[in-house]
Amino acid sequence: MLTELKQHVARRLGLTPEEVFDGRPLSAVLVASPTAINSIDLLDAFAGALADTGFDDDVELPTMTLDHTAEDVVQALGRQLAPTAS
Amino acid sequence: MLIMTDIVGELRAGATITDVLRVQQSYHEQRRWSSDELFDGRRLTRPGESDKAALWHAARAELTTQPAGIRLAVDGVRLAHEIRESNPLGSDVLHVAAAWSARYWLEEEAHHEVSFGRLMEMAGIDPIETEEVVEHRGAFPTDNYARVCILQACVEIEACVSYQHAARTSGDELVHDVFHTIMKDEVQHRQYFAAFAKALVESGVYPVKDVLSMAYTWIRPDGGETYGSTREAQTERQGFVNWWERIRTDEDDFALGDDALHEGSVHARKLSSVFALVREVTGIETRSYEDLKRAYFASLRTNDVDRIRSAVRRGAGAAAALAR
Repeated sequence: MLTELKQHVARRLGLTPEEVFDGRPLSAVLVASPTAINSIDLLDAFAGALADTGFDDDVELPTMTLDHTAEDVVQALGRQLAPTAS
Repeated sequence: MLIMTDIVGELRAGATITDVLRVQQSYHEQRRWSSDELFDGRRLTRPGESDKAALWHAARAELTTQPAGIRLAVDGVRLAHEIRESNPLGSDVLHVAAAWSARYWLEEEAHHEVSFGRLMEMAGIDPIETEEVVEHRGAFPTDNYARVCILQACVEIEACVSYQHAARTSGDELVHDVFHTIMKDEVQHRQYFAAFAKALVESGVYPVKDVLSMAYTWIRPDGGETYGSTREAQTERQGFVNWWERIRTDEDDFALGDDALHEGSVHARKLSSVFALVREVTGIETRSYEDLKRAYFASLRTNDVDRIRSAVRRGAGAAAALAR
């Protein structure tokens, strides 16, 4: 489930999952992305990935700053989705 | 004389950029007021602590309009040139928006900056230090133009509601008049930004999602921009100031009370104004944060407004059924 989510996040940012989820802060993901400009594009990527995977009704996007990593965000989403998945 | 809210309709019916700008100019001239005349011979009589807190914030907030206006003017013309051949209608819209920012928005906001600064000092508050003025002039970052229009419309909503609250609760006639006069300008500015965002979507420059993403970002309960400095997590800004992230609360000098920020009728008015903004710009009815969230997520799958409306209705219906 989270693997699929990560793939959609990366695709929406024009990067590979390895580039997005290698532990770099979201500020560095923004720099690497050929399409994203700012935190709203990151929001679009995570929200869009949730929509792609059909989980958008089940979760709230966590608060994120550019100091967080993409993994932080996905883990926070995973904690919300855990009851749904089980 | 009213603001032209259907810019694309007017342009499609044969209006030119020049025609639209003449309407803007007439409206501007009709609504102008003089800060010198507003203050002429008047003194503060009963400025309260809440008046001083409101002035401390408003005087600083208004400083940041100039870099935002310059950014919209410069980026609007640049983008208009970039898409001139591929989307002449959208290019016209951008020229109209850029001209309004450069001419009227900046000029009108100058009245606000000067009036609030002047009144703040009359209330015995220290003038804003030059370094702080310079910091608030930091270059506003480039972004998607439709998102910036919605951001600015939301900022104008914050200003409208806050200034209306300050005017209503003040016991001082001059404080009331200054806040009330400026609040009426901010209502017009919000309308202009809504009209530009609507026109940018209708002319195909940007998809609906860019309107919804910014509105969602503004009001989302966990970390939304409207919660400003009270949010747990803050992104450090480099080179510019988002004034709503600098709001003083709790025990700070000149702190604003919760009743002026995120509670009761003030907060409810901010939210309902953002929902009205979304309806005006996209034609999508949202009445709650949950509706807006559904609309935003649906817009990430489709740009079809009818399908987004259906997703909002379906989601609201499912939630109501669950609640029963």
